[in-house]
Amino acid sequence: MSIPYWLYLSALLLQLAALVFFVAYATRPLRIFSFTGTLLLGASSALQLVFVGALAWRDQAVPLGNAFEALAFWGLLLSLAATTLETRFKMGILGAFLVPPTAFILLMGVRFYNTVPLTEAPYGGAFLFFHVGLPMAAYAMFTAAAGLASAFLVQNKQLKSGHPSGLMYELPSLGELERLLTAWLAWGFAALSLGLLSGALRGMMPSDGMVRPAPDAKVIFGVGLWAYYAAVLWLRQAGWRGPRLAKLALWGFAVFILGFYTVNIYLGGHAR
Amino acid sequence: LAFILLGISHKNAPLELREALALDEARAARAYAQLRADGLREAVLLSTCNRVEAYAVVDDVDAGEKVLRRALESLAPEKAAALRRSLSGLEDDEAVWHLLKVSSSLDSMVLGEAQILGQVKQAYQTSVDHGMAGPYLHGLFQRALAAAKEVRSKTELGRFPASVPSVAVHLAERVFGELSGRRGLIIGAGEMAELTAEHLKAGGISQLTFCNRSLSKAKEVAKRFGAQALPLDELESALGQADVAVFSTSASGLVLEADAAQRVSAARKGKPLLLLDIAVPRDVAPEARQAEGIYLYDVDSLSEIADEHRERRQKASHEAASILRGHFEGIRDWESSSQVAPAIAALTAKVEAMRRAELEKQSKHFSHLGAEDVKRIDYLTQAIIKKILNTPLSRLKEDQKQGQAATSLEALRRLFDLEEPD
Repeated sequence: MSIPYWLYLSALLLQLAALVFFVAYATRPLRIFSFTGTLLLGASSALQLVFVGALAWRDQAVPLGNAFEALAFWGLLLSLAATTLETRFKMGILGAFLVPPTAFILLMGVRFYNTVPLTEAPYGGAFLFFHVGLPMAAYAMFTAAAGLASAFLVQNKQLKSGHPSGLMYELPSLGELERLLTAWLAWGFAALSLGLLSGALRGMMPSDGMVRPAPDAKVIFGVGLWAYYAAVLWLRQAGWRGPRLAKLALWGFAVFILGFYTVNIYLGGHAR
Repeated sequence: LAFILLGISHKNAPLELREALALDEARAARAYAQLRADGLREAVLLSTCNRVEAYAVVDDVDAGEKVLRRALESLAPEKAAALRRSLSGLEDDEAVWHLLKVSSSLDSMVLGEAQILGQVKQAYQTSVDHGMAGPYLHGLFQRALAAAKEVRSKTELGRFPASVPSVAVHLAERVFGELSGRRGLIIGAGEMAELTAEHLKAGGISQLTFCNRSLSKAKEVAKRFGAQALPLDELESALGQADVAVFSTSASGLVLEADAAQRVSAARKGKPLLLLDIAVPRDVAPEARQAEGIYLYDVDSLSEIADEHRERRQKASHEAASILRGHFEGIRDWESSSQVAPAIAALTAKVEAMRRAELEKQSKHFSHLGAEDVKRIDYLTQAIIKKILNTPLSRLKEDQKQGQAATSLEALRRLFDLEEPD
């Protein structure tokens, strides 16, 4: 069954259109901009849901068989996260921080459409969900956390200046942004931990013809990422908060996106 | 019947006069009793710090106005002369528009203030309690309150606080979000400090501490707020615990130097601390702003924000007025329909009763018919009546929309022998 690619492209276009409206709202806070942006974002999420759902229906599994599917899945989770946050706060401005990374992930997907599958089966079922699906969810949460961290830093700058502009009124409070940022980092970390743990457990089981990764680049990347976010959460517990936490989340995202691109796309994932 | 209002407001009467007329529960009860004794059936008395106004439904405008004037003058007989000069009245559409503006805070001294909605609601409820809110005032006040709620929810009129103490609370909310469970520290014990403390408490700050050079003075103020008191030399440790600190001392020098702010910040590990310096000369070194987690606002920046908020409210007031215009038209439609609705209801009820009576009378001739046929006859008679009444009732509604229903109504009542409404 062929899944219409135009669904994916339309979702991407809607995402970019939403971004235009959110940025317009950031410069001129008219309700019509935020309303239209949220509407477009919701429509994009719905199209992505249909697209990824159709892939899953075709494969009878979580659609994570190649780089394109993984990015589409990641983009969907992120888009849903952005829609949820935007609908929850009705601020119109969070979208300006959350939609760019989503659009970026979807654009990355366009680059890898129709490429050779990175994983040659026989991943499937529960293992696929735990070992690939959960890390993808973690990546989506780290990406959303990066968007929230940018919003935090902008709001912090506004409030620190003593002469805040209109943007201050549109963004959630620092307390709320920090609470969300911490929560998304923690949930992302939990999902990544489960993903890595499932891979480690599978590796200890008798061979059944599946890829048995040695400590290859992907394993090192995964463990490194896990260690970084573990350290961030530990520092948060130790009292690192506010701008420091936001900067750590942003650095983490920058290093992670670079590492993801290099390890998964150019080095081709696990060593065979 | 006419709808009138008579009263004074911040626009035409000084504070002393508004104070003299202000209504508490007992005075309102006396005033309502007098209005009832003077023959008024529907009235609402509204008393706020901006205004004292009486709204009423009267048969005759001049006579009604005299009754209201007498009631208001009796509240402050010693100020009767000043009151006569200040009292101003409006009637019908103008009075309705005024009520809409008042309820939505477009006529308040501080544009967009939040209290007025509750005050109008309370005034209406008091009138209900005294049996003075009839069908017209009930419908009108419900509509005015609905309009005010829409203005609050759809415009930014009430979103931006316009006084320095309320801006302080607003900023605290931008930093912390929810204020419940947060700790406030007030340094100094002056009037402004107390006012800001009141706002912070009303905003949700649950624990307040007063810190002053004179501990006894701090204790005295703290007692009024159910708060703690500390001497000024414990300021640094107190700042370590607080979330919002208001500086309002009369000290000639700085109370919090930049290096002290750095120490406080380090001890708090960057945990946010909002410093509101409303003292002149300033209590906090401007460089304190550079310390991590410290958000510093002095009186100028607070005033600047308050000014900007007032501008935003002014802009929002145009949007609010356009919402009110929609409600005003709605009220006019309701007023007109309330003129003809009783007549229409009476006519349809009368005709329906006649139809049923005739059917009943003829029922003995229907005994040979089946249930389905009887049902059909019932439906047929209903349909004939509907068709006959359709044109005259539509014409009546058209006349009502054009404000010319009086003649048609009169004719309808005479032709069908309808009772005059109560």
